[in-house]
Amino acid sequence: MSERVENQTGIRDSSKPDGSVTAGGNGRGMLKLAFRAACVGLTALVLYACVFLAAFCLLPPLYQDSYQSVVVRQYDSLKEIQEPKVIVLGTSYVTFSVDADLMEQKLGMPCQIFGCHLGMGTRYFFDMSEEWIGEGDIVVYPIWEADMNYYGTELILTGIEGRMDLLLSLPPGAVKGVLAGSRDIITKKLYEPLRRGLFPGERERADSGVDPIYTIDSFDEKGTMKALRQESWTEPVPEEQKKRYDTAAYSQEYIAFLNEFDAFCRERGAVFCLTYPTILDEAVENSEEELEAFDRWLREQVTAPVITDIRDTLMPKEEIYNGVMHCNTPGAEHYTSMLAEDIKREIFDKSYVSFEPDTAGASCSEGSYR
Amino acid sequence: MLFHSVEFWLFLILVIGIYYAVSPFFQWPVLLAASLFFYLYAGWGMLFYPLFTVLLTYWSALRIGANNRRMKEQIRAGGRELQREQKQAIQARYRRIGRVWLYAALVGNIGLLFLMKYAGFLAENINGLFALFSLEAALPVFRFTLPVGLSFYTFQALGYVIDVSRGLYEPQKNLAKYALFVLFFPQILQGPVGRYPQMERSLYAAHRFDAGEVAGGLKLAVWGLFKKLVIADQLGRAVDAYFGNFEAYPGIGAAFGGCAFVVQLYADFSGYMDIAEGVSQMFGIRLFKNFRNPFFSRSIQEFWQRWHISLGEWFKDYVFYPLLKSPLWAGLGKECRRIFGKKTGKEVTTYAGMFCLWFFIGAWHGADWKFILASGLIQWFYIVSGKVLQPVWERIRRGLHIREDAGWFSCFQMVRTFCLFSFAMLFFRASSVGDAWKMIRLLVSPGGFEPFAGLLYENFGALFCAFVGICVLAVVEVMQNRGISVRERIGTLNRWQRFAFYTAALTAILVFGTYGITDPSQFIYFQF
Repeated sequence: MSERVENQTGIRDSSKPDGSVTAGGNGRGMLKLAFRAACVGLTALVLYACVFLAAFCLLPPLYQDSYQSVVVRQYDSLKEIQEPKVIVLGTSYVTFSVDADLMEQKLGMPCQIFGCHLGMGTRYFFDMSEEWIGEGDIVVYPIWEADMNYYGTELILTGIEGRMDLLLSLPPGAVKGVLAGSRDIITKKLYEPLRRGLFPGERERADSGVDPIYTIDSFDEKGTMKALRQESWTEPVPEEQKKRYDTAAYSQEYIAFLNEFDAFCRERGAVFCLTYPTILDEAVENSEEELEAFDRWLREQVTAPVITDIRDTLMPKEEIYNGVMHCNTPGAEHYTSMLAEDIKREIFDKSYVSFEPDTAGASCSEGSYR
Repeated sequence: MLFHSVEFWLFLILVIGIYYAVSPFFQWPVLLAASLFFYLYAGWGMLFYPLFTVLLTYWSALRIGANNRRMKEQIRAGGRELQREQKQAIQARYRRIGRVWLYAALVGNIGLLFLMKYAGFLAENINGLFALFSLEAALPVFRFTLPVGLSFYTFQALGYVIDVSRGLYEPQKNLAKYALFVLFFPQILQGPVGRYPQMERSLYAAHRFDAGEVAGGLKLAVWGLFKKLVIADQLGRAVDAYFGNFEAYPGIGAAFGGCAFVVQLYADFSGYMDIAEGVSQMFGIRLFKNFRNPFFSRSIQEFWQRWHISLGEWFKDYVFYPLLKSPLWAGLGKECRRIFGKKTGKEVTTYAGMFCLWFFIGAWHGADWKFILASGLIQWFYIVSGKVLQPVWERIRRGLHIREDAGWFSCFQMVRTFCLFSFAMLFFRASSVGDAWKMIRLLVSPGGFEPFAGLLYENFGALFCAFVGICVLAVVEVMQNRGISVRERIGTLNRWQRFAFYTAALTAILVFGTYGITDPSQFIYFQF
């Protein structure tokens, strides 16, 4: 900087030796610099996207055995089923509590579970299923508290690892979190082989700590949990696992979303219906009257039919597995059979959808929704 | 508004745009408005504290300046006829008056600082002391929310008043201009503690848009972001994991915790400084250089000449030297010389002065014994023991035929300095002095590698990213220490090479940095 000179205004121009004051800045110079900075920034973003895509698709998979990767199996299976089908949406309580094959037997129409992990966000499963909902389909949602604005992008990305089509079809709401999630994918793919090599003992210990139920091996090709879950809940219910049906937890935004989804299904010629998830009876804090009041409230709020008696979904200890909303195998059979009966009674018998139970495979005729 | 938050960069783009678009006459008012907005963003109530400091120090400095002027005028009016004694009498009279204004500024500002930061600590200690003798002294322990940057701007403003009282320069008459000096947004939160003559030159000057300067500032700021996001915050995860459960990691784990924290602290603090310096440069304003490759220091004394330089300089100029020159210390020196002899007596006096200096430096960091020990008394101990034992080390070195300028010996000294500093920083980062002692005990207890391996395994991702960053940082630091300007080197590349370099650097931040939709983590020195 040149020597400072004081001029009449009292302002010293650091750059002009005569102390004269320049009027304003150099607009062109500024624009040029801004343009260059923007070019560098944008190119870096593009480069980052390329690095991410390369890591996502080309580097060896890391999450192929993970629990959440079942979402790919479920999605592929959902895509393949052409005929009218039952789709059960939700999160892990659906994975643990619904046996798709048994449902298929009971209803005589294909059934697909779509949902696995609460951390991925309930909304994700709704969004991803939309494209594959067709005429005559029955979409069942065991309603539970959910934030329909939340997408667990980091978990979603690990679940759909390597699948470019699923990446590109991420719902717009989930794209926001991709930057944070994508970075973890890139770095983990870079460092994980090194980590495994450097700390084989730690790796083994970490692997041995994972409940085998939370791996992809627990599922069949359709993404239905097939691992035998014989143990049942024996402990008293911890305070943090206690549940409560509380209307305050079901925002108007949530209800509006469900009603919109119902309208969407109707447009597609499908039926959307609500049920309740399985919960260990001891874990529910509501009295019977409160449960009835909640059920009444819900039926008033939603346009979709609620097909199950809320009391029927409270399960005894013997049918609950490792969490108060997770059924063991007998529990899942019980719940699935009950749900099938509810669908028959509330959907088929009320002529929302007609069906021919004795015929295997595609059996639903034209759907009609009042 | 943190420097690595999106809102700060949007704010900065807006301010730069306005700054260079308006007439130069309005450039510094734009900066003042931006600085006020920046501070107000932390909360409306917060602005009271810096405004109090600004008004009190501005007013005191004006009175002191006027007083100094009157003194000079009177001496000048007396001309050559004035006897020396008469001159001294005039000076003494005016200095007495000047001292009143100076004390007003000191008491007001240090009082506020003390009340906000140290009153609770003092009350707690007095209560504790009484409890030791089974006496009851239930002094109320107040804990206030500290205004951001309190210690930094208070020291900057006090330095200004003291300099004016010493007659080093004339006070700034324009309140708004002075307010800008204290509140200038890139430096108010964490320094550097600026000096008025250095800043005044560029702070109020008209600046034409200089693409080279702005781009240079931007590059420096991005480098600071790299240090913060890639090294400090990533390393911070592993450091937090260690300090959060340190008892599980004996032996090498404790050594790792101390060393990793020092690197984190450096990357965090110097990263902030780089951003502050870069942002200031974008406005054509130069800030004080606060770090000079401290890890190349061969002794703790040298380390502190390269680490947080502005704070060290401030304490040296405004605390240490005045203390040594004070009548109290002169008396102490006399007594020491009488007891220990001339040479040792002088050394003892100096070391006692250094003890006070380091005590204050430690206390500046925070109202807690852990800070007083970590950044104060342990550092004092290192420096004094280094000086006292210097002849012994010299003899050992000569006995072993080690050349002082041998490369490996320099490396050894650097590593030794780093380890000593890291040891002290265990106190800094630990939640209490008691925890730090436990860590030290664990440091020397055999714990095996297994628990530490678990820590590394759990935090491998963060450490991996930090390691990539540290490698880059090491190369840059080596180059800087050899006097090579990295920015100039990059400047010699052709346009496309430069473009590729900047793009790769930015991509590296995106890939290895810590950021996301959650709130950005704070800078460590933010709390002071």
